[in-house]
Amino acid sequence: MQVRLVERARDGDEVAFSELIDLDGDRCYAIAYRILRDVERAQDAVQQAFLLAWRELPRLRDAERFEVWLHRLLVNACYEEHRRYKRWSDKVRLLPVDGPAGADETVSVDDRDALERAFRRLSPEHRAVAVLHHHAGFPLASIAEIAGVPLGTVKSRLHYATRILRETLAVDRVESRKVRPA
Amino acid sequence: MNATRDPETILTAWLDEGPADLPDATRRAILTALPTTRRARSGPFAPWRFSQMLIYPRMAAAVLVTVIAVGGAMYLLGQRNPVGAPAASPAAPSPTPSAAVARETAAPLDTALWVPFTSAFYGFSVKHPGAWSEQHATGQWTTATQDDADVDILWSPGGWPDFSGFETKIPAGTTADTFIQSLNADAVINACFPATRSLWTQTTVDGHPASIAYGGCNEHFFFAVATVVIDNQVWIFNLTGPDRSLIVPFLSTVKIDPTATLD
Repeated sequence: MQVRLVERARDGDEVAFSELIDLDGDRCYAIAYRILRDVERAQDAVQQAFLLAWRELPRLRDAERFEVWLHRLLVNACYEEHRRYKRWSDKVRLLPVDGPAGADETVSVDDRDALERAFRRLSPEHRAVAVLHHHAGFPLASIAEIAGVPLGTVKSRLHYATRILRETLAVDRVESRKVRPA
Repeated sequence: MNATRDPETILTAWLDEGPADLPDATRRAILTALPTTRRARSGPFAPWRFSQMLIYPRMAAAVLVTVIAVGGAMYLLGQRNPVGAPAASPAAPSPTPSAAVARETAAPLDTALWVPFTSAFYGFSVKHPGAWSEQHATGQWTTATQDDADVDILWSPGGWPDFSGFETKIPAGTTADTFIQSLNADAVINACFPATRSLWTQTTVDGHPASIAYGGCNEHFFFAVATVVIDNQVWIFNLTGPDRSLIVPFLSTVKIDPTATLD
């Protein structure tokens, strides 16, 4: 069904393209938000990606490649949004977020804060691979196509990002125990 | 208790948090912009901005063209010539062995029998094999629009390889090297393209100093970019296809007239 929609959209059918937005828009937005960690920039990235898709669709000869192709446009749009934002946000310091004291919920909040901080320190390229793998569930080979890098690069980026985030969680637990002795 | 939780489970759960529905306002904004968004043409030519290049549709053609090239690349490209040789023959880097093999399929071409093409916008002319198609630019290329429709394009009967060219002004306060590197930033990131122009091969085009660089990370996609800088103008020629060295015979036919540009 999606292939038929892509073919119709490629031929200029705006209704078909609208249906493609209905099918893929939510997922694209979810991915963009998780890469950029910002609602408005994620919306901008999705808008940019879909408009670019509409513009470039006549060149997409294999409609079955649409999903990977669209996600490639999306990831590139996220990179661009990140670069644009970074130009004026370099001097903005992230304020520490303190979670409430407590038992399991406290650890969960600490985890969340630690992950947020660590994730923001990752490059958008590392974020994209982590999100596409852990959240969107793309196979590594597909991520390589989406990111436009060799499979080995995907693996190394994923390994690096996952290691940083795991270490962050481990460190956070140690720090939590230091400040909240049992 | 929480110390025993799997970090990857935590990571996945954390990534699953957050918004998942595209806001209606964004959806409406996209749909509203569709009627005024200029669409690309479906012709098989080389878009300049690499971030938007569609590599996958070209892969099958790449394999086909490469196979054909082993036995008779000239059938696709023009006439085989035992005498004529390209005016310049820059050495290209070899990102992969397969890339090197693909380039070796090039044979001397008799450009004397090629058909002339004159750009209406950009003050250059070039020759191409008679079987190739021409697609004139429909507007002036600018860094603001970077519209592929605003590039002169020639393509082979199979759609690939293709040759494109355009000219633009180097913005005031910007050096040629900086400007050209900015244009190729995406190719550096995505396509194993040399990061700095100092790594490009130096040559001449129509007597003017020029440089050539080659990109492409695997056996499926290759391209070559040549730049000619004259005062504050830069001409950019791009050849996309399995045999990037074809850019050399093309460049040997290029004539540039800086006074004939429209920008």
